[in-house]
Amino acid sequence: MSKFEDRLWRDLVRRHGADLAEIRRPESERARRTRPRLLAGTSVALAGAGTALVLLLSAASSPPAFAVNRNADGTYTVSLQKLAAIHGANAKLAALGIRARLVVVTQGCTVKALPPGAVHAMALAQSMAGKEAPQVATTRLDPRKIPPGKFQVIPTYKVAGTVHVQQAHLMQGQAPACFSTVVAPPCTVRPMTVLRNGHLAQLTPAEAEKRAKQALATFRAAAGRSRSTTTDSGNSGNSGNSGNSGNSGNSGAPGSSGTSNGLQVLAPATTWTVGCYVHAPGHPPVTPNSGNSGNSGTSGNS
Amino acid sequence: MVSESDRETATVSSGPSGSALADFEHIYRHNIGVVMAYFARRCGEPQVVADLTSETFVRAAGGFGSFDPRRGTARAWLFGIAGHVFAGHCAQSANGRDVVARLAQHRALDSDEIEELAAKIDAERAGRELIERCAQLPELERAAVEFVDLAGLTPKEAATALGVSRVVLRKRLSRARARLRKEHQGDE
Repeated sequence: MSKFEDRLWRDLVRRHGADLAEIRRPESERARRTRPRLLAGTSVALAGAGTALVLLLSAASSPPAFAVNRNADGTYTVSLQKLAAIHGANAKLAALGIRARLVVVTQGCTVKALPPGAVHAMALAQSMAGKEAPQVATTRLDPRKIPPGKFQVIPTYKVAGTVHVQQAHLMQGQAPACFSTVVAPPCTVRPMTVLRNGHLAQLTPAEAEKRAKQALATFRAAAGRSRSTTTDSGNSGNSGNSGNSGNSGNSGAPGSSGTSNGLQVLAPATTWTVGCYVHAPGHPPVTPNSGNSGNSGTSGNS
Repeated sequence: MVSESDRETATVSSGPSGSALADFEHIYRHNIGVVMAYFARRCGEPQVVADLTSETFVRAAGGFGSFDPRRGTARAWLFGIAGHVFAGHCAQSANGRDVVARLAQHRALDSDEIEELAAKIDAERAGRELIERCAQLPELERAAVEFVDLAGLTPKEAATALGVSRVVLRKRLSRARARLRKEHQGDE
């Protein structure tokens, strides 16, 4: 949407959001309208050529907190009102055969680090707390642009009572159960340009490697802290489950070491993914390109 | 002009998707472009287009509780409101009063928004010329041509928006097209 359209929408929500939220349609009417679609289950009703498909994805007894709409151009728009509806939305995406998942960002998650871009967006959302924001988080995704064997994951979180979705990322294997709030270390160790004594200078590969190791250590320490302090966060239980990890095909017994980008890193007590560093004892390491944070997805926020 | 995809999404806009706020947002996002284009064809000033568009959606938000999708699509409903807003604007302008500024609490646009709206107005130049060519047609015929041939409404939606039966709309539309065709052939 253009800037004018966005500003107008914010004005409308500010002035009429409360009134609109209180509008209740007659239950009988809503039930009559939704039931046929529910009876159809996951099948799609074609109302003729040139008609968009609307799939209502919730129980008839309660208002849906999410929706997956198929657009005329073949893309899908996923709308989410409540964070709790994430499972329903993912179930419907799975039913439609779309390899994309909304993934909750939560403290205490030790499965997967949040991609750096999403961290910035989340910080921005936190800085906007208390200001008007759209009540429904929406994102658009194109299933045709998801390569075979990869999943599109969409970091999703709640700030100041509002659900946000961030730019999607492609990742190898299955989608993780959650994202950590801690930023992932860089995927690729390259000579970096830094400001040194007022002059631009290139870090040597050794210095860059050292920095990457420090970032990884910071992540592990932070993730370890959150694991010990938020044991009942609801997601930490997935940390040791290789089936839920970001790259389950590469998971193995803990305690060994994995190698990525020439870095030798110690595996944590549980199997998890840290940016591009996948602790995969007994299996070949994941290459940098099959990591997650460096690969941007095909869709962004709407 | 409205593309086929716009027409398709317009069909979506009348579908329920949850709470009233979510429904209204869906309607807003799928119709803001066509409503803005409607005013852009009629006004050359970005600020006026912005005000009239704002006023239409402010009224729509206020009256969303009474919107019944069984009586017509959201797009038809919005164009009905837009028609009233424009008529009010014309009447008040003739009286020398800026009613829109009062009703929509006139929000000043920044330079980016003015640029966006100016581009929209420019894009609707062809449509504006067609409306000018329809100036000699009766009001209903002119509105039928604009709603169906320019705004992309279906004849059924246009009939709902204009408050006439489908039969009347089709007759008027057919008559208007015939007149325009004849006039065009006369020009050649």
